[in-house]
Parts: sequence; C-alpha cells; structure tokens
Amino acid sequence: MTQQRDIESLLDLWLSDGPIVAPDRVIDVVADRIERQAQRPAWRFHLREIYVNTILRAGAAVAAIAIVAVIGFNLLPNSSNGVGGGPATNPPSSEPSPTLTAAPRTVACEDDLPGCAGPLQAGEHRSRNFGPKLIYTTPTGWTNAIDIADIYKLDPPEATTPYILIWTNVGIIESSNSCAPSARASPNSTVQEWIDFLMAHPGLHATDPVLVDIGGSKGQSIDVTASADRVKLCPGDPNVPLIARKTAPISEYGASAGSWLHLTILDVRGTTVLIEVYGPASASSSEFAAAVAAAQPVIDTFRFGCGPAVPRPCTQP
Amino acid sequence: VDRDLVEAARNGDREAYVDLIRVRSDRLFAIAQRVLRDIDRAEDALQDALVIAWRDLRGLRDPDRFDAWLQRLLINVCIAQATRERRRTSNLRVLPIDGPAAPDDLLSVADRDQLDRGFRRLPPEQRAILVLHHYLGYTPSEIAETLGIPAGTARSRLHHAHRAMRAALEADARSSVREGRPA
Repeated sequence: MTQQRDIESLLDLWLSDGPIVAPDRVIDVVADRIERQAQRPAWRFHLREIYVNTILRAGAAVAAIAIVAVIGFNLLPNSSNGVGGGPATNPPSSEPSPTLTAAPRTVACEDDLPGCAGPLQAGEHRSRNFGPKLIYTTPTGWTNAIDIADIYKLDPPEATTPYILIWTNVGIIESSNSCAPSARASPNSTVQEWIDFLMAHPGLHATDPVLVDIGGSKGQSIDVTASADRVKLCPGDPNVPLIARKTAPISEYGASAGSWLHLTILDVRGTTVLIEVYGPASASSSEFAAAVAAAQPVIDTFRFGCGPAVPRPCTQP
Repeated sequence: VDRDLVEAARNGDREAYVDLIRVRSDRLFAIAQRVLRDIDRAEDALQDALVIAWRDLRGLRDPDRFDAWLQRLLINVCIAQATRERRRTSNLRVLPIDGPAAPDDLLSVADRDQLDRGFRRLPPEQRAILVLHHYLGYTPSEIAETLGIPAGTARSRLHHAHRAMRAALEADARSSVREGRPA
C-alpha cells in the first residue's frame, strides 16, 4: 500500500474518518466530578515547567541526597543537636517548651498535601516537615494549611485575608527578556541577590527595602506589586514569575497582575528563607496594608530551629 | 465571550467552565479517539483531561490560550493512557476488525486495517503528532505551540512519525504475507 500511495495522503484520509461527536454523558460526568474537585490554589499553579539545566538537575539531586542523609542522620538514636549523629550522651536540651501544636491527625491540608497541622489553637507551634524548623506563635483562629519540606502556609482567621507563605530551597527566576523563564542555577540565592532581583525587575513596582531581624535572623523586607502596565516581558501574560521551587515537581511561582506581595527575606544560618504575605489583586493598597499589619505580629514571633534544610550544625533557638 | 468564560471559570465558576467545555467536547473527543483508537478510552481520557483542566485552570496564564492549553493537556493525558495501555498489551497482537467500510471508497477495509495496525505500533507521542498534523491540519509550528516544544523539534518528530508509520506498515505487510492476509 505504501508503495502505491503517499503515506501522508493515506493518513489524511484515514484520520478524517471516525467519530466526531462526544457522548452526551461526558459533560454530565465532568460536571459531577468538578463539583467535588477544588481548583488548585493560585500560589501553587505551575505556570509552566521551567527549564532546568544540567547543573541545576545535578544540584537538585545532590540536595535531595543531602536532605535524605540529614533526615536519616537525625533519626539516629542519641541525636542531640538537630543535625544528628552526636555523642552517646544526651546534653541538656535547648528545645523550647512543649507546644500547643496538636499531634498528627487527619486534617484537610491545602491541595491534599500531607502533614499540615490544620486549625491552630492559640499558642506556640512548630513545623513538622518544613525546614529549617519554624517555631511561631499565633492567636486562635489561624490555620496551618501546608507543611512540606520547602513550603509552609499560614491562613489567618478570615479566609479572605491575605495569607502567609514561607519558602526555602527556592531560586530566583530569570525572565528579563522572554516568555521562557529559567531558574538561576544557584541553589540558594542570598538575601541581597533577592532584593536586587526584585528591585530591578521590570514587571514589578518595589518599595525600598527595610532591614529586619526576626528571631535573630537578619534580612530585609520589601513590598512589590505585579503591575499590569509594566508587565511587558511576555505580551498577554498577566503573571510575573519570581520563585522557582527546586524540589519535584520543579515549578515556578509568580505574582499575578495587580497582586501584592510583602516579602521578608531572611538569612537563617546560611539558608535563605522567604516569608511572603500575599494579597490578591482584588485588595486595595489600604486593605493589603491592613492585612500585612495583621500578619506581621505572627511573623514577628518566627524563630528557626534546626531542620533538614540546614545541613550544618546549629543551636536550637 | 470565551475569554470572559475562561476568567469566570478561573475564579471558580463551575457553570462557566461547563459552558466552555460543552462546545469543545466533540472536537476534543475526536482527537482523543484518533490518538487512542478506542472510543471508551477516548471518553475516559477526555473526562480526565477536563477534570484536570478544571483543577489547574488557575495556572493558565493567558485566557486566550485556553484552547491550546486544553488541547495540550488532553494530548498529554492520551499519551499517558496509551503508554500504560501499551505496556499492558505489548505482548498482544492487534487483530483486524471487520467493520463497515467508510462512506468514501478511497480506502479499502484492508487499507484501513493495515493503517490501524501500523498506527497502533507507533509510540503514543508519534501518534499524537500525526493526529495533530493530519486530522487537525496543524503545521509543525502549530504542533510546536500546542505541545510546547521547539518548532524544529516538531518538524523532526513529524518526520520521524511518518517514517515510523511507513516502517510499521511495511512490517505489517511482511507479516500479513507470511500469515496469508491480504496486504
């Protein structure tokens, strides 16, 4: 057959034949299924899979191995300093007093991610999976909706109020001249690199940075807005990609046009931690300022202990 | 209007989303059926793709790209499903199905069977490329845009898909001759 007719003409003919009408039930079934399917929250949408070069892949692999090794080391008996493998004797612990965070239980974490604490009682809490270990205090009504190795999320009592996201092990996304962002190969951009990046970003309005000290970790805070009229990087694209996760799935996080970000970037014993108060585009500047003011007292209680993302000895706060 | 519907759906409006997909379901189903060569699996793939699209809709950057985005998502679901199916059935031989001839008489039943067998031998990614090009009439550039790959890669993959299809048909013809089937 292929010798008699051109393969392309055959495929044209053959593929034109076949069903062209979907069964009616498809829409009914989908309508039913999406009733039970929540949309992924805006913070987690994967704007697009970013280009990860060989160096970054290698770095990610090394980081993953290091994290697994540190976790395993921490699980060894007689671990005394949060890094693990310490002496056989147990020196007096410098851990803070027991917290009010409930024991693991079944709670509805955002996007079905495991491990969050859910609704929090008033008092001190600490992350279970996020590292460096986050220790903080909230009044009643707050919710820990995400607690994974590189992201921690705190929702305030009012669902409409901007939330707090804490990131670690993330990279800067370069997207200065095209629609194809790429992650900077550096596994851990410094506080100053982040500030320089944000202030120079052509798709953002940024305030002057302010020096901060939170729980003994020094850094800077800055407010940025993704401005619709300044987003020229990729015509028709309302989002400004900023943050690249380094853990699988490799993904990027951006600010949509008109949204507000209050970023506090800290150096926690050599690990850069981003604390972000996110405000939707629907919020006015005064509403966002009020939300930041409400979130800041909680952020001010943040302390960082030793954890898997700090691959070096450290002292518990 | 569609842009408004996409934006409404992105903001959680389920009715808007259903309106959006209702007018697109036939075309998407036809694509899925042609990649998967199975009506039931095409229906499953379409349903899965539409639910995933709803879940991830907030990740769509540009509402005007909804169709390309949805099509790409469907193709990926079809490829995943076909890959799973291929693993399960890799030791099975696809038998020709006796069915009514198509309205046109340009292709005989034997031709169709042979094309079907040859097509099923292809990796799912190549099937998808061929459907985009020969059913939807996409150029390599449009294929590239749909699949999110460079245009050169799309051209190369299309070339390889044609070559693989030809090889599959020739292999089928050889085995048909050995088994006494009409080639």
